[in-house]
Amino acid sequence: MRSLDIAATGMLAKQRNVEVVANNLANMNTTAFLRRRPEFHDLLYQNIRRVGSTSSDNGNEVPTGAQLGLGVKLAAVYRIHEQGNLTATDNTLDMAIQGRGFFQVTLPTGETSYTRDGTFQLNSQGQVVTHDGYLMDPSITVPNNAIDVTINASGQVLVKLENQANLSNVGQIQVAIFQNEPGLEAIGDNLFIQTEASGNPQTGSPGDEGFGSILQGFLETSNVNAVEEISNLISAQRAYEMNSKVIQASDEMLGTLANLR
Amino acid sequence: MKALAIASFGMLAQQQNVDVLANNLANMNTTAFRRSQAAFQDLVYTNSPRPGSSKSRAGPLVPAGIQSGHGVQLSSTYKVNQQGSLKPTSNTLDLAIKGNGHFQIQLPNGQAAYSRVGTFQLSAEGQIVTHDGNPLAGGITIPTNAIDVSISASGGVQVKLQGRNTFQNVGQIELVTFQNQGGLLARGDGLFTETTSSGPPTPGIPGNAGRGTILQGFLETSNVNPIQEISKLIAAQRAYEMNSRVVKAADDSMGPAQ
Repeated sequence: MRSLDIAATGMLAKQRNVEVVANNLANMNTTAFLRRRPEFHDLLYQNIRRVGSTSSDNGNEVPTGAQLGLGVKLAAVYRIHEQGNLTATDNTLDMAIQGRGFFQVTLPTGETSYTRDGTFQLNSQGQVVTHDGYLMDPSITVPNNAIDVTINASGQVLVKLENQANLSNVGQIQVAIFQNEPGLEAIGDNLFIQTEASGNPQTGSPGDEGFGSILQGFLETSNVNAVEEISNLISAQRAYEMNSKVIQASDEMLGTLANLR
Repeated sequence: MKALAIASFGMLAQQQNVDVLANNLANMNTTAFRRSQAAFQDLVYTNSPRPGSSKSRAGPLVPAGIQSGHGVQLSSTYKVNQQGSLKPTSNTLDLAIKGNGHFQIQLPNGQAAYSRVGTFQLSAEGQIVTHDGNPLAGGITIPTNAIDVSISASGGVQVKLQGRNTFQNVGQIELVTFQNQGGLLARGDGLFTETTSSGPPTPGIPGNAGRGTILQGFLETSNVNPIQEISKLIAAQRAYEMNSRVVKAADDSMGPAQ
C-alpha cells in the first residue's frame, strides 16, 4: 500500500511548510529579518512500465510508460534577500543599510559574523557594540566628551566634541558583500556566518561600487509579508488535511482487504 | 474460478490508482509539479466460441461469440501538461515559464536534465544553480558587484553594476522543447531526462518557435486540482470495495465445495 507512505510524506512536508510560516510570522517584527520560503520537490519514481521501452519487436515505443511517484520531500528552505522597509527611530546609533551589504560583528570566539540588524549601542569603553555586547568590526570608539555622533551615508563616524567647532572623524564603518547571500548560515540573534556556498566576503566602504549606503536613525524592518504568510498557512493546512484523507482512504481499503476473509 | 483472479486484478489496479492520487496530493505545493493521471486497459480475452466461427460445416456464423475478459492492468501514468498558475515571490532568481519548454540543468555526471522548477540560486562563484547546486546550462555568472539582475521574457540576463547607468548583458537562458513531452522520464527533484520516446531536445530562445516566455520573480505552482483528486480518490476507493465484494462472492460460492 504505497499510498499510505506517500500521503505520510505529504503530511510531513506540509508540517514543515507550516513550521516555516510560523517562524516567519514569529519574526514579523524582528529587525532586518529575511523571510524564508520552503521549496518542495517530488521524490523518486518507480517505473512500472518504463517510458521509451518497446511494446513489440517492430519497435513500437511506449510513449509515456507508467511511473509511480513516491511522494514529496523538502528540498530547501531559502531566505529571500529583499530589502525590508525602513522605519525612523531617531536613535543615534540605529543604522540601516540601503542596498547590499552586511555589518561585520566580532563574535566572542574571534570569528566574524554578519548582520543587517543595525541597532548598535555603546559599551562602557565607548566602543560600538551590538545588543549582546559584540564589537563592531572595524572597532569604533566614541570619545567620552562627544556631544553628538553623526554617521554619514558612506559610513564615516563623525563626532562633535565639546568646545570644538569642527566634527572629528573617529572611524569608518565597513560593510561586507557576498556573491551568494542566501548561502550564509543563520546562527540566530540576527547574525550570519560565511559558508563555502556564500563565497568569501568582500569588504568596502558603504556607497562604494556594489555596496549599499548607511542611513543613520533608521532601522530595516523584516521583509515578512503577513498576507502572503497567512495564505500560505491556509493552503498548507488544507493540503495537510487532504493528505490525511488519503491515509484514511488507504486505511479503509486495508480494512476492506482484511475483511475479505 | 476466474472471478477471484479478475476481481483481485481490479483491486490491485485501484490500489495503483490511489498511489497516483496520493502522489499528486502529496505534491500539491511542489513547485512546477505536473499531476499524473493513471490509465488502465483491459487484459486479454478468452474466446469460446470465437466470434465469426461457425457451429457446423454449413451453419451460420456466430455473430458475437462469447468473449470473457480477464481483468484490468495499469497501462500508463502520464503527466498532464497543463500550465500551473503563477505565484509572485519577488525573488530575483525565481523564474516561471509561461508556456511550453524546460530549463536545461547540468547534472554532476555531465548528463543534461530538464526542469520547469525555476527556483534558482547563485553558487559561491556567482553561477546560476538549482537548490542542489547543479548549474543551469549556459554557464551564466552574475558578477559580485551587481546590484540588480533583470531577466527578460526572452531569457536575456542583464545586470546593473553600481555606478553605471546601463544594464550589461551577461548571458542568455535557453528553453528546451521536445516532440513528446509526456515521454520524458521523471527522476524526482523536479527533474526529467530524455528518452527515445520524448525525442531529442531542441534548445532555443524563449518566446520563439512555440517556446514559452520567462517571467522573473514568479514561480509556477503545481497543477494539482485538489477537488478532482479527492473525488477520484472516493471513486477509486469505492471501486476497490466493489471489487472486494466480487472476491467475497466468489469465495462464498466456493464455500459449499469445501
